[in-house]
Amino acid sequence: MVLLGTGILLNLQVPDLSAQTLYAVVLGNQNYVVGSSTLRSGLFVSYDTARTWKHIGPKNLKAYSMDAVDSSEGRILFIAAGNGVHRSTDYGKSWKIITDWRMTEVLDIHVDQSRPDMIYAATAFGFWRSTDGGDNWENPRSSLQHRYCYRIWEDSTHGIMLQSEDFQKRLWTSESDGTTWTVFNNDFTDKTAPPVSSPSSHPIHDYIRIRKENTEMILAGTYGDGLFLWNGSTWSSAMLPGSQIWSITQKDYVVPEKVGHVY
Amino acid sequence: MYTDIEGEVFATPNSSTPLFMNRTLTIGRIFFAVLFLLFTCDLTAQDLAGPSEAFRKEALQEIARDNRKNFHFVAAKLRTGRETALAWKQFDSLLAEPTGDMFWTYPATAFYFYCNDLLSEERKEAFRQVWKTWTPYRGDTENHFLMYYGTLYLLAQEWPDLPGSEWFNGKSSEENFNEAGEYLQYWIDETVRYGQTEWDSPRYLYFYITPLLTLYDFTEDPAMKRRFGMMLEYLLVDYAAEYLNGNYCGAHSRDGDGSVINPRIAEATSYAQFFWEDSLSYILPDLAFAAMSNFRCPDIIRAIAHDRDEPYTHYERKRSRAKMRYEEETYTQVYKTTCMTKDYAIGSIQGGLQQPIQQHTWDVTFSSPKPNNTIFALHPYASAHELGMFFPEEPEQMESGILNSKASYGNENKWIGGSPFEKIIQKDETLRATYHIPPGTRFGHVDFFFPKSIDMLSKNTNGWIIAMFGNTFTAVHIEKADSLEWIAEPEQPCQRLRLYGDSISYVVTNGDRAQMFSGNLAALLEKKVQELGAQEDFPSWKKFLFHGPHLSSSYNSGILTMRCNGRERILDFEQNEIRTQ
Repeated sequence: MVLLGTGILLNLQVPDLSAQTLYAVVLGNQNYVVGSSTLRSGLFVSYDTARTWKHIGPKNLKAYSMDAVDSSEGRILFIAAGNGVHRSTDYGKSWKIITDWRMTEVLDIHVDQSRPDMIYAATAFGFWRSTDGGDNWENPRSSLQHRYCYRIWEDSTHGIMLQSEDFQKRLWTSESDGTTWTVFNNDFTDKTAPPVSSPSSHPIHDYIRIRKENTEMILAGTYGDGLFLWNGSTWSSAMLPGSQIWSITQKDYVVPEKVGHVY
Repeated sequence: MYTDIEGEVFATPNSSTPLFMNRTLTIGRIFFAVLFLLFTCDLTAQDLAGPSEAFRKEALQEIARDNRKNFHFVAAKLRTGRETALAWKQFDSLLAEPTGDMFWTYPATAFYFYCNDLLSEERKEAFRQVWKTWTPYRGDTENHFLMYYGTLYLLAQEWPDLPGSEWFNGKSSEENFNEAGEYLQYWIDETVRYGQTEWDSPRYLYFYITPLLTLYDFTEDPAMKRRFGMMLEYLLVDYAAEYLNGNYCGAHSRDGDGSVINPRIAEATSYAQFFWEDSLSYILPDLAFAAMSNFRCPDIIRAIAHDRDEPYTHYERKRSRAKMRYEEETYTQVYKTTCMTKDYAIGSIQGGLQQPIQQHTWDVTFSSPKPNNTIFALHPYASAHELGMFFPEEPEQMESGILNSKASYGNENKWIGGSPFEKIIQKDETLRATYHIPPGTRFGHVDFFFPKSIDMLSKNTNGWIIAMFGNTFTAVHIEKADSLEWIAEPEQPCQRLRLYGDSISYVVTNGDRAQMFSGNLAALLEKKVQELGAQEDFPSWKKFLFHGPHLSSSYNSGILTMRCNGRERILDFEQNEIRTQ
C-alpha cells in the first residue's frame, strides 16, 4: 500500500503467483439482514488464484477482514468479525474467539509481521490492541478509545495507520503501538475506486491486483454478487455468487515446505 | 420495618431473665411478632402469588395443542403427555437442524433444562454436540446478548469441565462460564443504574423473559439466581407502570409494524395476560416455559398494572442504542414521560434518533377493546445517516440494501421510526411536538394516525381536531404547518392527516367526556396549552431513573422501589436483596 500526499491510498502490489494464498471475507449474502448472520459467510481461502475457494472457520460468521502471520509452526489466522476476533493456530482447522463481550463489531485486524505478538483491531466502538498474540486485549485511553474505527494497517514511514469516522472521516497515525494517535489527514479519500466499473449491479467493495497465468488481473469483491476477475478486457466470475465481499487479502506463503500447509 | 423476603423472622428469648419477666417478655414478643407480621410481607404471601398452579397447568395444556415444530410446543406436549411420539420426532428434527442463531439457542436451552428429566443420555449428548459443532451468532442488541450469554452461562454450568475443543467458540467451559457471568452482571448493573438501551419494547420485552426465567430457575449460584429473579421483576414492573388494559402505552425503543397501530397485538401482551390478567387469550410459544417456571410474579406488580383509579404521571430515564457515528456520546439519554389514567395514556420521549428504524416516539393509547386504539404522529425518516449511526456497515450500502429488503423503511407512509428533526415536550396529559425539517430531506411531512375505530372525529372544532374514544377525547391543534391534507386509507385501519412544511408544530391534549361536553371546552383547551407553556428543558426528575407514584429509583443507585396500595417492595441490586414493607 502506498499513501499519497493527497491522502489517497493506492495498492500497487502485484504478487508473484508461485506462493500466493488469497482470502476473501464475506459479510453476508443477498438475504442478509443488518444485524444478523447468514450461511456461507465468513472466511474463504483460495490456493489456485481464485479458481476455487474453500470455506474455513465458522460457516455463518458476519466477518469483515482477516490477517495472518507465519510462524515456525505454521500459519496463524485471524478473522475480524461482528462477534469478536477469531484465531486459528492450526491452519484454520479449529478456531477460538479470543475476545469477549467487551469487543464487538471488529471491522479490521492487523498483525505486526515483525512482532507477531502485537495485534491491532479497529472496531466500531474504538481501537483495541493485544500485546500477547491475542490472548488478552486492551482499549487504550486515547482519542480513538471509543471512536468508530474501520481500517488499520502499517506504513513503513508513518507507523500504524488507522481510519476512523465520527462526524467526518479521519486518518490517524501512531508511532507508539496505538498508545497515542495523531491526525494525519482530516479529510481524506478512501482507497481509490477500482479502475474498471463493477461487473454487476452491486458495487465493488474491495479489490486487489494479482497475476494469473502471467497476466495482471484484478480480483474484485462485489457487495452482493461475489467475486470477479478482470483480465484487462472482460470480467469473469471468480465464485462465491451472491456474497457480500467485505475484503480480499493476498498472503504470500513463506512457511518451509516440510511444514506443508492445509490452509 | 423490613424483612428479607427470603430470610427469617427472628426473635430469641433471653434465658437469664427471671421467669415472670420471661413470660411477660414472651407474651410481649408474641404480641409484637403478630404486629410485626401484620406489617410485613409474610401476611402478604400473595406478593408471590401469580399465576396459580391450576392456571399454569391449563396454560400448558392449551399450548400443547399446537403442532407447530418448535421447542416450546414440544416441551408442552412432553410435560402434559400429549402426542409425545410426535413431540420427540419434532425434537430430534429441531436438534438436527439448528438455525436462527440466538433465537434457536434460547428456547433450545430452556427446553434442555425444563425437560431435562425427560431426556435420554443419547439425546443429552446430541444436544451437547450441537454446541460443539454449530456456531450461533452473538447478535448486536441487548436481547441478543442476553439470549447468547444466558444460554452459555447455563450450559457451561451444566458441562463444567469441557476444554475449548468441545465448544463452538473454542473457549473452555470455565472461560465461557466466567465470560457469560461477567457480561450478565455487567448488563444488570448498567440497566439498574443507567437504564436499558432496548427499553420498553412491546415486541422485544417478550424475548427477555424466557432467558431470565431459565437463568432464575436453573442457576446454581444463589446470589446470581436471586439477581436474575430481581431482573425479571424489574422488567415486568417497568412494563406494569405503563400498562393499560392489555396495552403497552407511550413511547417505545422498538415497536412492530403491526403493534404500533394496534397496541394490543404486541408480543408483550401475552405475558401481561399470563401474569396479570389470568387469561390465555393471547398465547405465544414462550409462555410454555413461563408455565413451567418456579417464578411467581409478585402481586404488587399485578396491582401496579391495574391501579388506575387516580391519574398519575410517570417518568423514566433510559439510554439510546449504542451510537457508532455522528454523536459525541455512545449512549444518549432518553427522557420518557407517561401520563396514565383509567381511560387512556399519553406518553412520549423527547424526540431525536434514539433507535434505528423501529422507534415509536409518542402516542395516546385508549383503554378500549376496539382494535387500533391509538393516535400518534411521526415524521417518516429514512437515511444513510440513521443507519450509519447504529450499524457498522457503510451507510450508503446499508441504505440501498435495507430499502431493497425492507421496503417499509423508506416508505413515506410508514408508521414507525424516529426522526432527528422531531422534538417533544410533555406535561401530564398535554404534549407539543415541533419539527424543523431541512429542505432536501427524503420526506418533508408529518403524518397523524387517526384510527377508523374511534367513536367520533371532528376535523375542526374552533381550530382543534377532536377525536372521541370511549370516555376520552383527544384534541389536536396544528400550530404551524404550510398545509395539511386528510388522506383516506382504504387498505388501512385509519385516516391519515398529513402536515406539510419545513417547520411544523402541533399540540395534543386529552380529557374526559364530561370535560368535552362541559360547555367550556375551548377555555379548557387553551388552559392546557398555557400550562404546557414554552417548556424547553426537562424538569428536575433527570436525577431519577424512575419517578412516579408506583416506581422510584435514583439515577445510578441500583435500587428500585415499587409502591401500591400502601405496600412497598424494594429491589436492591446493590445489596442483592429484596425488601418489603
